Amino acid sequence: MPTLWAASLRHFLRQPAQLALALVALAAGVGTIVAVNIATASSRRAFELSMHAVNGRATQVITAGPRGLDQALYVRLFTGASLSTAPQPAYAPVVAGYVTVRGRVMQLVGVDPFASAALQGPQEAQPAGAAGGSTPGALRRWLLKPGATVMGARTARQLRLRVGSPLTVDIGGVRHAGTLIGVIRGHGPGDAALILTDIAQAQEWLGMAGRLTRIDVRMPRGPAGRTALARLRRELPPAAQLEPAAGEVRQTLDMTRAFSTNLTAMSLLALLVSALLIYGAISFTVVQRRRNIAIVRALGATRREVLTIVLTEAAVLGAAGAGLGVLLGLAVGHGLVRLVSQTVNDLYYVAAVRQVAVPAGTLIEALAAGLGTALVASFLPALEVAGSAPQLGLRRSVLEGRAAAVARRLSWLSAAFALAACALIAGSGRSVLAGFGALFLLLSSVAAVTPSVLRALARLAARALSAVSSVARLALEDIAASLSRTGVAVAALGMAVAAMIGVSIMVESFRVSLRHWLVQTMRADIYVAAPGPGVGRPERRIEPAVLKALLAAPGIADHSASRSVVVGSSRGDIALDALHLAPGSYAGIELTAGDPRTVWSSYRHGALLLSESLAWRLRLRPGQRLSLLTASGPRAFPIAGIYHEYGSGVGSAMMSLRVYRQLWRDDSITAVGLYLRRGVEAAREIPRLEAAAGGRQALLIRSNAQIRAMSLEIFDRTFLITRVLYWLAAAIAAVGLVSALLAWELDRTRELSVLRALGLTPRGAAALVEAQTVFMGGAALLAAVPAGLVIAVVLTKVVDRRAFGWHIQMHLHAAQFLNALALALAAALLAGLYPAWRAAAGPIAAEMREE
Amino acid sequence: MSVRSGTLAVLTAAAMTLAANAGPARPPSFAQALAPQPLEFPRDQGPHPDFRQEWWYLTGNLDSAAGERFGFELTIFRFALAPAAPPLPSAASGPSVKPSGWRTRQIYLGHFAITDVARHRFRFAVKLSRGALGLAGAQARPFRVWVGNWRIARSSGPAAAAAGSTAAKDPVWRLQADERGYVLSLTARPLMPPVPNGEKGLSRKSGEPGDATYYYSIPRVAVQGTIVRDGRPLKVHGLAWLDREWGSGGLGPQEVGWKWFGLQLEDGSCLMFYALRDRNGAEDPYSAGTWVDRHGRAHPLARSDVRIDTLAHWTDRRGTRYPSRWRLRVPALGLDLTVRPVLADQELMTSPRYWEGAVNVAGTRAGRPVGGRGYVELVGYAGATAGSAGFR
Repeated sequence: MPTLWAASLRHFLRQPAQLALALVALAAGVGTIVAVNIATASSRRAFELSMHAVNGRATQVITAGPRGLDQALYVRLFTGASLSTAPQPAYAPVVAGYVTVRGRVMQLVGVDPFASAALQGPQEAQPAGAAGGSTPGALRRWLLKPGATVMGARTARQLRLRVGSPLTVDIGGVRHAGTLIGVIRGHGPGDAALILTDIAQAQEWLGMAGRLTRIDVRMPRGPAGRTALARLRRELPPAAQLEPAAGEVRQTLDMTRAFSTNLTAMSLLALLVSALLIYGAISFTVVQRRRNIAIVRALGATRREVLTIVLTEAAVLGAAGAGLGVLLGLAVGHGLVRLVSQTVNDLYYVAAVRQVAVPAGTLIEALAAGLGTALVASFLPALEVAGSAPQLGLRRSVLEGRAAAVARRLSWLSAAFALAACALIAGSGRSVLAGFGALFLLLSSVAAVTPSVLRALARLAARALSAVSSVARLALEDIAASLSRTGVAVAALGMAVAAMIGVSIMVESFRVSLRHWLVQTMRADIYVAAPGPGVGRPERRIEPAVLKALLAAPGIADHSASRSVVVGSSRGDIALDALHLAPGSYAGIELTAGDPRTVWSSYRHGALLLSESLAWRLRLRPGQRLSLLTASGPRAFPIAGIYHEYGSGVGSAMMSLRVYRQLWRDDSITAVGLYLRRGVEAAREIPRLEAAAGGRQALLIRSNAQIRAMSLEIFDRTFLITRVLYWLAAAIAAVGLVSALLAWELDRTRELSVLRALGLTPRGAAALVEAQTVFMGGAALLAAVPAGLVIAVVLTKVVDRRAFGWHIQMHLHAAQFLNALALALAAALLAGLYPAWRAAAGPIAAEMREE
Repeated sequence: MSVRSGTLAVLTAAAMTLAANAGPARPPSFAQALAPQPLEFPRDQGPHPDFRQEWWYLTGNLDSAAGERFGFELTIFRFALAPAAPPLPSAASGPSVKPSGWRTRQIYLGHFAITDVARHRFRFAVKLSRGALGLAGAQARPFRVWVGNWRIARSSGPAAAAAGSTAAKDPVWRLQADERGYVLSLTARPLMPPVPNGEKGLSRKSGEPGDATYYYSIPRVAVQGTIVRDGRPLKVHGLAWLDREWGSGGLGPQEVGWKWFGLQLEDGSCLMFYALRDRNGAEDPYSAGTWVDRHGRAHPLARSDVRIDTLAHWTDRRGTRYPSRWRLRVPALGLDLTVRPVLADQELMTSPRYWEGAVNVAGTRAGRPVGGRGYVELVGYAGATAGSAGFR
């Protein structure tokens, strides 16, 4: 037995390149999983922490619509509580919004220190010394100093702020002067994006005088708590919502689920590709040692011993690769976290992800995935080598004969995979995960069919070329005959290229659809919006005086106006756009359902229009009703139509601004679209409008062309991760191909020497090798192109539709295929370079002498 | 951070320390108690927001129908953080900024304690709020002072009749407060007019001109109502004492605390005396008091008029040693009294900590036996709080 182990070790030490490549493949796959998990977990964690950073012991939260709660509710709860000997609930008012301080997006949280301290209770007692209200001077500054703010010590350091430093708080483009009066030391990671201020200051800055964003509630435990909760429910006005404190986190995270599903799928894809590569790598190591193993078998080693050796090798390889992968994932995860937070900022919600959370489960999961993949991938080759009779092991022809049979069987398997994918799509209704499942089946189908395609193509080409060149025929038949080594690598490449084609067609189709939609929708010449992070944030509003000045500008002919908010509905929070449409703006809204003759009159009378995404998500059709939480309680709105919209993956509803104002008592305007008089140029009008704003508010004033460009930029950023991941998958495939072909070609140097001895020139030998590898790349590509198209269809028509409700038109561009072509050919050329050089330069005699 | 670590205790300490924040930071623009001023009602029942601090201090002894003995303290403090109205939001915020109703310079702090002699329990609670939006506040007309749902307020109608008020002009107050295990709700009817303490209501605490308060008491207030104990109501009645004091100064630099006695004797007379202590534990010359005879006439008492001997001590869990029994003599009045707490532990573990408890009085007046009840307050004994005085 020690001999066997020593042989195994020596083999790997003699083949460090192969070992390294197998490790790289595995590490890349595992690393992707870890990185993606870290990215999604970090954004989730940051969110939860920011929820707990203030009034962390709250058990419930009272919230209301976009204008928040009337603060009279809090006053009533605090002063009107009935006297009781039982433990009483504690209430703490909060006024919060998103602001920008020195370029960093932060959550401004206005609290009442007395109420918050009472809610936290004596259990959280900590010695004084922290900032805020622990010393008389600090309490006085907190309550009386205009613009007094407090933030985490580390955050302050990062922003180069000291206690006493002035700072500017930018809210919706309006700049407010503040002062850092204290820092929180030893704060939790959730505080990183928090800027605290007194509730009075927050109300003034956020324009929420008289209103509260929420009231945090801490209910006592046990029966007293249940009684108090029931009483609280009765006392709440109809417009208020009472939810468990954890609920808010969950609801916000719902919005990001589609996004993380996308990422997870990408990491699974990477692992699938790496599994194939490991299968390849282990197969090669086994194949290369057939002779050794056969000798050892002949010397009396049992099957079980050989199997144990091979599987142990795989396990060691798997563990090492997974370990490296975890390190890689940790390194990449940090970068990915930034990407996630940026993407999510732009499109979904504002979460300042600053800390990297590494879930312990992820590491175990990743190690298990790495180990499992290595074991599964090596099991078949191990079984095969252990199963073959000792003397047969010496002959490769046996192996290749078997491989041809396997290739045929794989073709059937491929067909079965494809059928299963179709069945899964047809039978799974709305499940996004099933969409991904179908995608994997399709990819597996591509992988399974590639060896047969390669073999058939090689045979076909050999026959076609036999008249032209016997060397070419020889080379091609050699490919067909070496399926056991080349098949796996080519299959992996085929799969990666197919995925690449599919993903890039999907992304490009989406991009084109988005651009069409932007052109269609952006009817006004200039758009003016209150800047700021987040969608539907109430603090994003154009100051009334500024708005008046803008509309009075001489170049303006007409305008549309909108108020974007998030409102509660019977189906969870939804984004609502309340619109006043200029006559020219109606044409910008493309209806996909609803009677076009009656939609607009219903709309003017209070009916809703839903975006495709929202309608899909909530399964609503025109004619049905949706109950929204207005300022005076829930109210059912008829749905008049469905419109086309790519603004967000979660969708939004549209309503007449007039109706909204009546029902929500909110007069603010988030954005306006300005129509210019004939002959007025946007580029000239924008500076005039900026002058009209007069430094009162830094508004986003953009022409429609600029908006389109910006939107596409955001889009591209959103899909950056997708691109990063598919390039990673492609790189893994390319590396795999290089390693496989390298191994194969090196193994064939003897045959080449024979050819050289028979008169093949060095250049001819090199060309032969290159031609072989390029042919294999081409075969992979040929299998991948139709498969890529099918994958693109599944991505756009199944996955995107199911995840977002979007109807995306397919758009095909040569570039998408050219990328794939370039990748396949580059990988193939690269793979052939070294063997080609060896074939050309190798000493013929030395190679032959081995015989 | 105030939110995370600033507990009620810390904030209470801050608020109370603010009141006592003597030294160079003392802004001169708070109103000062410098010269005697005639008391005027109902004005002086209500708040005096230009002074730095102020309190409505009700303590009393109660008996239930079943003969159980209770003591209660319901005090509401007001502290002003700054003498002037808070500045408006900064100019950079623009003209369209609507000022928030939460802006205020007044903070209200409530202390509520119940001494349950039969159950051997002393419980207290604290409530703190800014004096804005009606969360907490005080007003003279109609009289009302409150923090959250704790309040002392003038009532009329059925409540007044229930309190046994014969004439409609007699003020009747309702007071209510709750804590874990106890709810107190009483109607209170003063049995005598307010009595000015010190020099016609000006009570000097040191030689510094500003270290003084305006101070009056209503030493006999009839109270009746209910105590809900652990969910069960008990009818109670008894006698309470109201102290009203406002000012902007603190104690003198040498003064670290005091003993305060408010004793109601069975013959209808009352004795109030506060003994200020200096760093060396010696009695300060500015200690003073008032003797109110059975006809309601007030007689100021100087330090030299009263002799107090501590007869026993009580030490709390933290090792703070409080005097716990006294012999109190006023030779000029022929008074010789022994004052005993009804329960040794009546310490409020607030920040700063202090002892405020119901007491029994026994002794002689001009040779004849006299009994009584009352309340005693001990401040400045818990080490950390020395110097942070000034709230009584």
